[in-house]
Amino acid sequence: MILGGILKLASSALGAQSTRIRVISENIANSDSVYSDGKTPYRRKVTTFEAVFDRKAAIEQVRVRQINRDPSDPVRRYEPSHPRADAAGYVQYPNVQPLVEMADLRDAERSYRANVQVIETAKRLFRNALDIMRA
Amino acid sequence: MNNTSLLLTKAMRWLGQRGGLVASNVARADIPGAQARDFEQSFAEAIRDPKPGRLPSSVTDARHILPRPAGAGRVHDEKNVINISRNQISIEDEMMKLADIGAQHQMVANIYRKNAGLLRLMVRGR
Repeated sequence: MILGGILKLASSALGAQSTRIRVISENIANSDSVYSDGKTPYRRKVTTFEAVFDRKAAIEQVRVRQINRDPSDPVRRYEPSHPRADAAGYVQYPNVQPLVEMADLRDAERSYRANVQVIETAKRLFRNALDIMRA
Repeated sequence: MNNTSLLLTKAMRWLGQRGGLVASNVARADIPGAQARDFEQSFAEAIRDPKPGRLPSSVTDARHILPRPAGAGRVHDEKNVINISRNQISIEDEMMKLADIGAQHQMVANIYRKNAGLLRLMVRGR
């Protein structure tokens, strides 16, 4: 694989990771949204990736396959004074757990940084090769 | 091109290709079921064990390139870790490999420059 291929591959991974970070930030921002479609509370979104072989560049790129909704049940809290409270006094909150989202965010950040490091190394290899001509 | 230059060119190409494999591993680190890939042989082993029909590269001294345990030619899947993404890619291992590739590439480039300098010295005589 030529160095240009490495850059393309790493940049595809950066794009996928930034989408993941955007989805996580959506989850965190909506962790208290009891209205989503007018009926149910917001449901947590989960990003999944897939490797796709790019024949033109002869590299296996990474892209977002889909952004799914987490099917787990909403969190029920007893708040009888809340306007969304049911007859029993319970309010359905989104199935977003800030701890899980923060852990996922750190993992995404770590992967993003690793891909940036790959780009830095590819640039260094390219510079090494160019420096030979200066000698 | 003399033998040393040829060998160094091959080494740089090999390092570039290995860098590609590491980059692919890092990019796929969050894909469930993905496996880390690396060359089956080290560069030293690869040049001693050429593909059929190809002549091996000559090394002027057996001590110049030491065999390394991990390492070219055929690619294999590594099965050594299971992480949170349910795959077998360890970012820490890949970062170590990347640092190693960077250092080795720098070393090969320096040797290439020195070799070119020696050739120039021979031609100019000073």
